[in-house]
Amino acid sequence: MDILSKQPLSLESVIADRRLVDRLAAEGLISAEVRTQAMELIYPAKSWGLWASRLLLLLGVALILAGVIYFFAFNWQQITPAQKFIGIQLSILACLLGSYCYGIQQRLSGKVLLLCASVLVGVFLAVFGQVYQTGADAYTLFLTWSLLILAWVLFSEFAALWVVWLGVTNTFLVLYWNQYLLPEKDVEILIFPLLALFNGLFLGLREFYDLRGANWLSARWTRVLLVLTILVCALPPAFLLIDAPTRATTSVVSGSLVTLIVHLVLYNFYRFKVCDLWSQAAIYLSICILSVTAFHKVFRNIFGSESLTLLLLGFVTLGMFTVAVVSLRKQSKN
Amino acid sequence: MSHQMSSITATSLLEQLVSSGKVGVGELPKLSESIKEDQQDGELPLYLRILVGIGAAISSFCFIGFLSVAKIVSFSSEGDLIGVGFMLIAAALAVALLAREKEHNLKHSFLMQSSFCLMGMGKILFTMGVAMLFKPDEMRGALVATLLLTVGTYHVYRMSIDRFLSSSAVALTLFLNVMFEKELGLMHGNVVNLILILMLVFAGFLFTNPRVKRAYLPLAYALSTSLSLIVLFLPFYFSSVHTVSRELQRSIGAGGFSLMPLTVALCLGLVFLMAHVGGGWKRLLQQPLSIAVVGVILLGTVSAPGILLALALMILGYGRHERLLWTLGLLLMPAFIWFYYYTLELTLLEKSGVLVGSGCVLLLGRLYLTVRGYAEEPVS
Repeated sequence: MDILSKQPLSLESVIADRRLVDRLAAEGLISAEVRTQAMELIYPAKSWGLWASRLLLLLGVALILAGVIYFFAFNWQQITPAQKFIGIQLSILACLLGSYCYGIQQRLSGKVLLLCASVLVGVFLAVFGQVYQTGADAYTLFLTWSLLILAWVLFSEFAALWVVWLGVTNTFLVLYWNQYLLPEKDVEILIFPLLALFNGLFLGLREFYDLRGANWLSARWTRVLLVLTILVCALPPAFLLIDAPTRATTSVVSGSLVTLIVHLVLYNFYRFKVCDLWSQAAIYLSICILSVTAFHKVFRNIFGSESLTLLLLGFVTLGMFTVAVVSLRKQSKN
Repeated sequence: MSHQMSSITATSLLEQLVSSGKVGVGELPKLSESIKEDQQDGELPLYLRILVGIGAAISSFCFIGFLSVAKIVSFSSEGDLIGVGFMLIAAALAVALLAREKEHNLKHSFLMQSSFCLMGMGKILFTMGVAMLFKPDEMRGALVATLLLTVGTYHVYRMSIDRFLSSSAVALTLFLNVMFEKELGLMHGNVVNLILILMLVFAGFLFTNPRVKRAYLPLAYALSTSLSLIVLFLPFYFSSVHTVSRELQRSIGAGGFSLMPLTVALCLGLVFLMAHVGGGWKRLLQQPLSIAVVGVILLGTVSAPGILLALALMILGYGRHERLLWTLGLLLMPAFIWFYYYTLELTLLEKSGVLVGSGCVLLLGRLYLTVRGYAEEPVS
């Protein structure tokens, strides 16, 4: 047994898999006939077919989309701009029509076609900029892209499409901040708390609809992805505050306040309201990293000696991560 | 897609087998005992392993920094490094032993974290020391050290993260030793391919042989991860091969060497995997699987080893309910596809044609499965 895990084992917690059945057969505890039946119970032929078919769909579509992007990036001169536009627009229409026929919310094929249409809108806008040399800032492309696909993203009930939309919109926000708002040096850090809050809004919506029984949102990866994004966005102002507290600007202090609030809210929610250990682990990790940075600063200021600082920091790190692990283990038992 | 994985528990499986009359009630205790025994090498949840690993890594670096700054260990003396490294490993084992009988509480966890941290520090210092002993061939020394440490601690120190990291270190240093060996001449490509094929075969054996204990899963994961990393970065290395030393360039050739033997091995591995998960070689004669075999062979002729490897990881992960393996394959697939087409010496236009063509072939495969009724998509 892994020497960190010491708990009595129940068969209820063991997932039956191929290895388990094969091992029983290899030890002569079950016959070949029983093995075959057990395999059929664990892996119904249908589930393999469905899995392979979905894999083929996703890979096939990814390759075709990559091919389309390469094609327009090549900027083939023998095709007139009109032909390019017509080609992309027809492709978008075909995807939308296909999606409608398959059922936007019913089948994976319909949802994937909608995803294709969304990517093709981005391709269309890029080609538009390429042909007319509009000279517009890149943020306008992402803004238009985000707005144009928003309607069908809202109705799609497809988490992957939401991820694409959030990616496009986050890119717009960053570019808008840097290319249009042109913030002064002392407020440029505010983009991080803004992004944390923006993504936090969508995490809140995700949880709200998940609690109301929206099945398409129930996959854990959607939650963990958003939590990680929020934590990564929330950290930079706090690092700056720890690094130079005396030189901290108002934006660094307010950004750090957002960092604190984000951690408190996320911890309380995933600890007491919806117990999610992956999200909690991410929050603990973020808190530990912030604390290690803070302790490093404090020890250096107090002791002045690098060796003593490193020694103490090693013990403090061990202590903090131990508390995190014990806390998570307690909850997983409960 | 992953939610399609079955999540039938061992209890439920045994109950269903009993109710179908295939297994007698009297056989249940023996079966349960065997399953429990096998699960003794079970793992901590992944999120805890990540947390433990990061915590131990940060504290190890702090302590190593302390030893260096306080000049307790001279990093220029191999004797010091080996001696202190050895002592730290011994201390790690002692602390683990001390924690063994304790209840699972804060103290136990702290001792285990400390033990892992000591083990990490000890292994790093020992490896550095042995590498210095082999000067100017430090890489060979690193291989000897990691091999000694892994073999010596694998069964004594039963922490899966440590087993995984140690085994990965052996696999990667072995590869680096062969890759940068200047004396191999024309055999260079063959030897590298041979090493990679051996890693593939060994990983495949550990994953698919039912007699292999769970304790060897970290080793299997280490081999798969190392192989993935190597296959991922080799094309990049080859594209910048002109920047390496002349001797090595003479040995591996101006544009690198062919990975065709590895590609062939991966094709064969995929066919074996299909037979394994399909329930035997005879099943390959059935239409969907025989078409899949033809598809794999075609893919092998036009594709890169990375793509085949990602596919193998996904199939293995799905077939074995190893979500980590499945996710690794899923994440690697776009990276491999991107690297592959990036390094192809074709114009963007030609690449786009190849990509769209490949995509259409895969969609045709899906169409076939749907038409034949093998993949009825559930309506939500």
